[in-house]
Amino acid sequence: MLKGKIAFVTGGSRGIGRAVCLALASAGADVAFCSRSAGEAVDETLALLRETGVRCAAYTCDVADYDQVAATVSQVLADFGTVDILVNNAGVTCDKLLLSMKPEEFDRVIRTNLYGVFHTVKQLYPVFCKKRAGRIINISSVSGVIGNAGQANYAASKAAVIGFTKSIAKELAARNVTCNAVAPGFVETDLTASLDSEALRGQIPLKRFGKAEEIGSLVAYLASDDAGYITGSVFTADGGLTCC
Amino acid sequence: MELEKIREIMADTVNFDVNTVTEETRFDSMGLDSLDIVELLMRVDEEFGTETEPNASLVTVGDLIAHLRESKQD
Repeated sequence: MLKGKIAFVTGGSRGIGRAVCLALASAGADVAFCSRSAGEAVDETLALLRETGVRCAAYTCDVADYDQVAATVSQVLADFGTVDILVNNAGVTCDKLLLSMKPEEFDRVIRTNLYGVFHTVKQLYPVFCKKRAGRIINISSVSGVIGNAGQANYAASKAAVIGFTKSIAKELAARNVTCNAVAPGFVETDLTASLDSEALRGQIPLKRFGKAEEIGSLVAYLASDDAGYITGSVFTADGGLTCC
Repeated sequence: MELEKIREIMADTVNFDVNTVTEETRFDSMGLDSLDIVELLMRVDEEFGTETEPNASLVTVGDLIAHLRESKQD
């Protein structure tokens, strides 16, 4: 389905990012991913990717830093020749009630989750324009759709990503580039490990947390040629949480 | 010399018969959309080492050439 395509995934070493990398690779895409730091998670993801037989590479990059993103994207373009699919998954949380949230804690989340998306899209925009093709998939969150107490910074960043997604979809539609957002609900990852509880699961119509693979498969579909008519859309994958 | 270079860049970026382009040619007569103009100017800036923002005073190819010459003098 994605044979011959090259994907660049931010925050690809763990959780949803890793599942996205693997779903894209399983569909045949070569995968470049970045993470903030090198380590075991990166090595594990690389090993899993290699098992699929695609070309893959990992880069160390803090997406909050414009210069690092510019250098990383240049390197990916040099190593792989081009990029066809961009998945903005890198994200951080710093949950607390606003009363005790320090300005730098608000800033850090916005800088990674929102500016990070701006930085990568800014770098690959001319590449996609020139190719007259491309897929941008931004990982938002149901927090950005319905809000969440204790996540004003995170929810604001993820809601902003939705506005960004729709604007870029309109800007690049004439170039045959699509831009969509995926808004996962509670998904089993390191980020949500401390949240999994009977009470929370009870609020989800499907009565369980999602699996990272269930987000990966949606992203792989949106990256495919079959999804060519879909742009500017937000896909919730939340076990029914937001339909209540 | 600038006109020749701009023609080359146009041939590479926009689907337009560049042989008909003169200094009098208006950008709005070429059927370019706003993204085409931005792409074109980005390429021009790369080539000439200038910084050009799309603006209302850039009406013709000649206006762009005049802007490039001014930028060089600065």
